This record gives sequence, C-alpha cells and structure tokens, in this order.
Amino acid sequence: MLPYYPQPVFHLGPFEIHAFGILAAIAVVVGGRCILLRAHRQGIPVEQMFRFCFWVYICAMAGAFLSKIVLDDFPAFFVDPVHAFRVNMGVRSVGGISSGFLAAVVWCRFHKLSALETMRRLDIIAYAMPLGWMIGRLGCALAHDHRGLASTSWVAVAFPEGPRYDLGLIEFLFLICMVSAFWLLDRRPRPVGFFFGLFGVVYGGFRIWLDTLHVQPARFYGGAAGVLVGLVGFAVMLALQRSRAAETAQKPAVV
Amino acid sequence: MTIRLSASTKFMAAGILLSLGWFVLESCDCDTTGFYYDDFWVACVAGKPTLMASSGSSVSTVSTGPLADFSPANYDCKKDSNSPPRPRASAPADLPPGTSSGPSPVAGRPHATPAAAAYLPQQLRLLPFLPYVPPSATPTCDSSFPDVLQTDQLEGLLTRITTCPFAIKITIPMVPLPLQVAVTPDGSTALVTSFNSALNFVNLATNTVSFTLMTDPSINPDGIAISPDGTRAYITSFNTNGGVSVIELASRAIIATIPTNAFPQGVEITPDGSQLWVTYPLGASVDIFDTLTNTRVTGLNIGQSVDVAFNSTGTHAYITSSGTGSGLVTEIDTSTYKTLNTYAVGSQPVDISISYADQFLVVNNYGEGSVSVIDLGKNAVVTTQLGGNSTPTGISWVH
Repeated sequence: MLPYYPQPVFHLGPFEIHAFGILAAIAVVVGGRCILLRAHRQGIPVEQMFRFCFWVYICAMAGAFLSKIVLDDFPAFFVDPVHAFRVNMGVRSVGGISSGFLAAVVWCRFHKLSALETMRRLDIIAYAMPLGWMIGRLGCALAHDHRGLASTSWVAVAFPEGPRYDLGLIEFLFLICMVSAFWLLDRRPRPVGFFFGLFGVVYGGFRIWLDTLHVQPARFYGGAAGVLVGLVGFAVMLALQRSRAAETAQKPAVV
Repeated sequence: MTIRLSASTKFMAAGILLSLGWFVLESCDCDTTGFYYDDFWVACVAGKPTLMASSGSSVSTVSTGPLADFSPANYDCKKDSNSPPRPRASAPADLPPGTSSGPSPVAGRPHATPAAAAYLPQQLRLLPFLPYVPPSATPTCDSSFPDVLQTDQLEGLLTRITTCPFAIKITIPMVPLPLQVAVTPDGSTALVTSFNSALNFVNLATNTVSFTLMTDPSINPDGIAISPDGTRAYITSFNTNGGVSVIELASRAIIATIPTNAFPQGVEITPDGSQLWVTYPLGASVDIFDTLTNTRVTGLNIGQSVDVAFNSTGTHAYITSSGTGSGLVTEIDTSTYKTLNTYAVGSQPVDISISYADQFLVVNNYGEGSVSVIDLGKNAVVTTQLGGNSTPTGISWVH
C-alpha cells in the first residue's frame, strides 16, 4: 500500500501553481525536444518538423477538449451545446490522439509527402510519446485525478476516503518500462513505422486493460483510446511484417 | 542542435509557450475538485424534469421518463425551465428541491434509506445523496424538524441542510479535505475533521467556524467520536503513523495521543463512554481502548474493518468489514467480545448506522452500489441496488 500525499502546490504571487500543471508543461517541452532531436538525426529539417508538431499539438488539444464536451453526453450536447460546454470542460485522450493523428496525416498530404515520409514523422512522434506521456502521467499521479477501483493491492494508494488504485500512477509506472524498452530497442536500426506500430499495440493493449480498473464499468468511450491506438498500431505492425516478407521473397537466394 | 526558426515558426513557438503557461497556471487542483462519488439530482432541462447523474467531473442525463425512484410528474419546470444541471466543480453542494434554481419542493431525490419521523444525529461522512424527504406531500414545518450536516470533501465545505423546508441553509468553508463530522451532545458545536491536518470547530448557533485546531502535519484526521459527556473528542490519523488524538473540548487542545496501528479510520465510542473502538480498513483487527487509561484493552480479529455502530445500550457492536467476497457485518457482544452473529451484505460495506429502537441496521455497500438493511428482529438482510453508477459511502437517518 502506497501512502497518500496531497498534490504539491506552489505559490507565485497571486497564482497557485499545481505540480500537475508544471509537469504537463515539462512533458510537452521534453517530448517536443526529443522529437526535434530525433528528426534532426534522421535528416528531417528541424523547422519543418517543428511546424508539423505545432499543428499536431494544436489539433490534438482541440480534439481532446471537443471530444470531452461532445462524447461525455452526446444527447445533452445535441439538445443544448452551450450547456454542454459549460458542464463538460476537460479533456479526453481518445479525442486528442485521434485528432492529432488525423492532423498529422492531413498535414503530410497537404505538403505532398509520401506515405513513407508520413510514417517517418509519425514514427518519430511515437518514439518520443512515451517519454512525454510518462512525465505528464507523473503529474496525474501527484494530482490523483484518475482514481480507480477500491483495492488493497501493494500499488493502491491510501486515499483519505479509503485505499484504491491511482490509475495515473499505474500508467506512469508502465510508461517507465515502455520508455526503457524503446530506448533499448532503438540501439539497433529499425524499419520506419516500427515504433509507431509498437507504441500502438503495447500502449493500446495497456489502456484497454487499465480501463477495467476504472470506478465505472467499462465504458465504450473510455476504452476507445486503447482500442483506437491498438488497432492502428496493429495495422502498422502487420503492414511492416508483410513488407518485410515481400522484401525477403524478392532477395535472391545466397548460394 | 541549434534550431533557427523563421518568424512564423517563432510565432507558433510563442503560441505553444502560451498554452504551456495556461497549463501551469490554470491546471486544476484535480484532487479535490472532480471525482469519485456519483450523485443524482433533478434539474429542468429544456423545460423537462430530468434525472441527472454526475460521475467524477462529468455529468450525464439519466432519464426524462419515469423510473422506479424518479417520477417527472412530481416536478414543476414551469417557473425555471432551464435550471442548469450542476457539475460538481461549479457549486458547493447539490441543488435540493425547493431552492431557487432547483425543481419544486414537492419531491425528494432517489434514496435508499426509508423515510421515518424524527432525526438521530449521526456521524456523517460524504453522502451520496441528500437525506430523503417523503415525496408524497409538503409537510407542515415546525421547529422540531432537525438540520443535517454534510461534509463535502470535494469542495472543502460543511453544508447545513434544513429538512423542512428541504434546503441548504448555509455552506461553511473548512480546511481542505473535510471527512467526518460529529456534533457535541449539547448540539452547540460540530467538529469536522480535515485530512489536511485540522479539526474545525463550528458554532452551530452562528454557523461559523469558531476555532480551527491545526494539528501537527504528521496527523491526518479522519474519523471522529465525541464522548457522551461532551468533554473529549477522539480523532484518528489516517496515515502510516496512525494514532488517536484525544482532544479536550474545553481547552481545544490535544491532551494525549493513543498509539494505534497504521491507517486507523473509523472510531466510535460506546454509549457509556468507557471504550473506544478503532477500525483499520487495511489491517486485520479492531482495537478496543479504555478511555480512562487511554490504553488498548483488547483487539478483535476482524480484517478490513471500516465502521462500527453500537446499539442504544452498548451491549452489542456491529462492525462492517470487507472480505474477499461479499462484505460482512459482525455482531459482537461487548461484554465478552464474542461474535454473536454475522450478516452477509453487499461487497465493500463501509458506513453502518443503527436506527432508533435498535430495529434496523443500514449498511452502505460501496463496491456494488447497494444498501443492505438488516432487520435485527428477524435476522433478515435485504440488499437493494441503488441503480445507476452509485457508490454509496455515507449514511444518515432521517426519522
């Protein structure tokens, strides 16, 4: 059982700054820096990559906010959108991930980049994603904003209202492993799309499992992020496997 | 790596920085503003009485049609056709029927506890619903109708609710994370524990905080009990250090600390004031202390105990505990400490309360969203699902 600590709060003049906000900002900066460094190493113009990331970031943020408003209670949104905006402010990862992905594809199409170049950029983002996400989830773990089912497991947190899972903390621990695995796997050359596919399959599967620990029964929209990421990742991994098989078939036999 | 950016890209970078600034300055204090206890209330949406539910920070529409506990015909939306369904984060407490922006006062809210005729002050925790008011008629109010106190952990408030008319009287800010409340026997003061190392003294005549006892940071107050003579309060410290602090109410000072195991939560005092029973939701026992010597007398092997209730004479104790399967209520003879009976209730039972005349025990089952009512005369248990996404944690009697 892990002890409970309230979220650290810092005071800066009239402002109250919560640890979550600081870590979310650091996550974006560190993730962005990692993306640009990796793009630079792969010969992609850094400024071009930065502009690419900018639009992905903007669209992902907008999608995350909008999906929260629309998906949380679609009938209510349909009846009274203004009211839905007032009540359902927040973010949903499924909206952020899907709209960020769509923005990336559209941006690449707009700039007439080939499918391979599009995948190269997505692969770079997918490699950096767990690192930034991990820092962000540390913020969630400190803010305790993803409380899960009541439990006395060793990884549960002794909240004031009783011990229960802290899903932000669990995801943070998982992402530490994922970042380490990505770093180790990156020591050898990998085909374009490898990290994108791997991220989708592994993280998607994890999110589907994590959703079972929510306080609420499994929700379609809650599980949608995991399903979506998992399916896209699986498709990419399948495509990689098939292209590798085709390459092997084309190679002449070595005598 | 040196990055040289064009003017337009720098503009984009500034945009990202601004958004990060927003992250830093506007990020919520999520721990206390939006989560976990589901709630139901009725609001007027587009002129129709609508049963609403909140789960975490999200709000959803349950039904505009009649359900078992909800009859739209009991509500009138003519005057206020669009009372906003209230999210947790935007208001200090639930909109009760009869308030200016709520529905008409003729109906109560879905609730599992039965209606009765008087009120027994109980130690209240965060209530999943406001107390029940009979929906059949508007009662004739007089001074005999009691008020109810409710802690709102999410908003850091103590809410005082009048039961006739049914309305929020006042909300009183507490030190963050208020958990439990107890009223002194003379009814003059309510004591509210705040997990953030404080005990709030609320003058119930003026509805103001008359004194705040800030404890050592190593103490995280959770459960509270007041001695029957009103001279002392006992608060548990829900952390690894544990301990029960003894507070002299006249001087409002901690006069002793009773060492306990880690994470004590519930504390109840026997009706004669001689013993203190302490529960450990994470432990394997219930500890019993002598209030005269502040020493541990004995312990009961009841694992994952959460709450204790005594019958009016103090001869029997009822302890809720979570096992691996369904939850249990164990009935103990307080003179021999022997188990007299066990009652299987729903999963993860939390708070327990006993009615006047020791007839019924009511248990909130947090794990499965149900309430178990134990008829002590018939040794019968009836468990009722609350429906929706209820996760009941608090309990009170409105007699």
